[in-house]
Amino acid sequence: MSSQNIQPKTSEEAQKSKADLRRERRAKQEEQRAKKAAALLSVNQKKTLQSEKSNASASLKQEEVKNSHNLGAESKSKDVVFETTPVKIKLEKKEASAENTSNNSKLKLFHYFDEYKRDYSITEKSSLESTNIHPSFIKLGLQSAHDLISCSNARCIGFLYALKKFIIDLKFPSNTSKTLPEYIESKLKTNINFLTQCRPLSVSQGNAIKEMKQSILHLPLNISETEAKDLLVEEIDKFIEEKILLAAETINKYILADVNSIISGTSYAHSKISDNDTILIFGYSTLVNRILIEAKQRFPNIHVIVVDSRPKYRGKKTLEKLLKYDIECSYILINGISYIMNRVNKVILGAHALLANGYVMAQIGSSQIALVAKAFNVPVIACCETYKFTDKVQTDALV
Amino acid sequence: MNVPDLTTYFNEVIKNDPNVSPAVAAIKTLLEYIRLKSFSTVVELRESVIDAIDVLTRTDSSAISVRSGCEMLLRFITLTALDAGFDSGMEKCKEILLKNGQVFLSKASKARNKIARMACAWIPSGSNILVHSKSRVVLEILREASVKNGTFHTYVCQSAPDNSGMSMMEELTNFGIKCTLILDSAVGAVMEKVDFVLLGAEAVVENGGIINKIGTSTIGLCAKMLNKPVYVAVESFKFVRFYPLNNRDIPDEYKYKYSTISTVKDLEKEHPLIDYTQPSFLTLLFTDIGIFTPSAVSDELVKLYL
Repeated sequence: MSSQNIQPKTSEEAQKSKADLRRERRAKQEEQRAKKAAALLSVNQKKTLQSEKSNASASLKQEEVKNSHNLGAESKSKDVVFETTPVKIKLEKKEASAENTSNNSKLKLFHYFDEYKRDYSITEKSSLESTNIHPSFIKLGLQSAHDLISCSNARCIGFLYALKKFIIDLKFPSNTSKTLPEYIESKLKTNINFLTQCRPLSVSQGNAIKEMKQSILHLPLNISETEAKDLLVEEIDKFIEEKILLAAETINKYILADVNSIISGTSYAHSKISDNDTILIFGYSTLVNRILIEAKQRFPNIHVIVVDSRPKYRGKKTLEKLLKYDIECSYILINGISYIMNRVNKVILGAHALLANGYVMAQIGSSQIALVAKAFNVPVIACCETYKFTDKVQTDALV
Repeated sequence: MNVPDLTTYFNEVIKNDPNVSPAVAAIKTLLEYIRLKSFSTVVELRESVIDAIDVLTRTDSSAISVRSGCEMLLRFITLTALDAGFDSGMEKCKEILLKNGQVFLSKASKARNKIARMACAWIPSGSNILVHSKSRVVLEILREASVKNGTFHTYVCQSAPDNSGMSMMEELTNFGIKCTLILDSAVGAVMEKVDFVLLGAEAVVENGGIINKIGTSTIGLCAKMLNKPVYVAVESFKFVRFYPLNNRDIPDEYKYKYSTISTVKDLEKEHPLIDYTQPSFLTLLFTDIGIFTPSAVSDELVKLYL
């Protein structure tokens, strides 16, 4: 499919790292998918075949699933070599235990942690009929629920890719009273509800949905189906290109005050990072990694301290990435930050969202880091693209 | 007018009027430069002015206030270049630029008096004031206040290494204001006696903090600790689009004189001339565009630069 091959036109280096990012992400996704999602998909395929209402829709969905499998095969052959045939595993019916009922009372926000893992498959006990959900959304939902996609940028991009496939595969029946935008929206609603059930939508995904709904509503009247699809696909690509990828580049340029592209128009632009700096980062953020990699090129003597925490140990991924670029790194768990904070020059955090009252929502543990930094008088810089801004207000971590 | 002429003209202006602020002198120099030199395009003009600004910041006066004044002028004239219209020739454009530049210059020169008139209401008679180093704006305010409000007492910090506090004290005595010279190290001891602190600034940064003679940060810290208000008197052309995270973040061009940077190898051994005082230590800023709290500065900056 053409959608997978669209790459933004940027400088070679940035393109390489972005492609790297995407390849790694996709490789990991495909790997996990082959083990878990592929099995479940084949089961779903059987289910969709069984409960089909009309031959047309069934064949369509078969095509979709086949296509996504082919895609998987394509990228698999490019990057990683492993089995291409989906393994037919019998889905074991887990016995309903007492733990199941207690899961419902636990906080929805943490559902993807292992401690709160569901004992049932989402597609089994989903209140919505699986027939109405597009396979790419099922895939995304499962990946989110099993925490295979974690970074908020990745979740948003994953959602937008799924949306693209959904729009391309959509067939507007001639016998409905709805207009095209209404039809798309109603179909989209069920898919989004499914996603929300798998894992509460991130702020980035929420904002993307709002934007896309606006684009859908503003489709010109009397437009043909193919034209509408092209328009929407273009909007999605534009959103990804401008709001996510270029925004990351701009943030980079502001922080490092790239002399060749002074944005403020004055000559004050001064890099926030200087040579011989000790920078503390937490967990895994694509934005912060990118800043550090570019900073290393300008300032060869920076030292990075990666702080990590249970249960996911995302800092290890960051460490791998930074070491590839020969950045001098230290690794410490979050329990030990009071020991090293006095030697830190600045803290750079990635953000999940920026709230209307100026508060930053970020990976769990970030507020702890900020508090300790404040106690040691270390400046904390939070990096956030504007598409993650929300008009929510939250004064406490959970309320 | 070429490079050596720029610096000579600049030094001339300062010599002729010792009361002029280095930023205003730099603006005058730039306007003279634009008047004398011939340009064929607006872009060429802009580029040459930017080069001229770089030259002027390399004189030994306060680099950051010179830069801020010049950047403000550049912003001002670049915006008004559009008023000239596309069809008119370069001469007409230059005329309009110079006219607007003169407007800016007169506003800048009058800024000090405006601030003095606004701020003298905050200096009641019988108050004890702490001042630091030689600030011409603060001198103007105190002079105005002593005439309008009555007598008050001033404690002046010696302000090593150039002992500019002594010259400040001379001026104050000439105005008939009671003053006492104190050591920089005595600030902690004297702070309990004063009612408020009145400071000048070389620049105001984006978060509302100030860049001023070394020692200011200490005074701000002591004042905050003892709950004494800190008032900063500064002209609006000293607002800069610069955001230091802490003192370490200030670039060397501002901390040391240009002659020091060009001759000394190891800057670590040199004494910095300025420091950064964080906005949480400051109470109010008196400027010619109004009286603000530090948090309002970024708002005003946006308005100035847009």
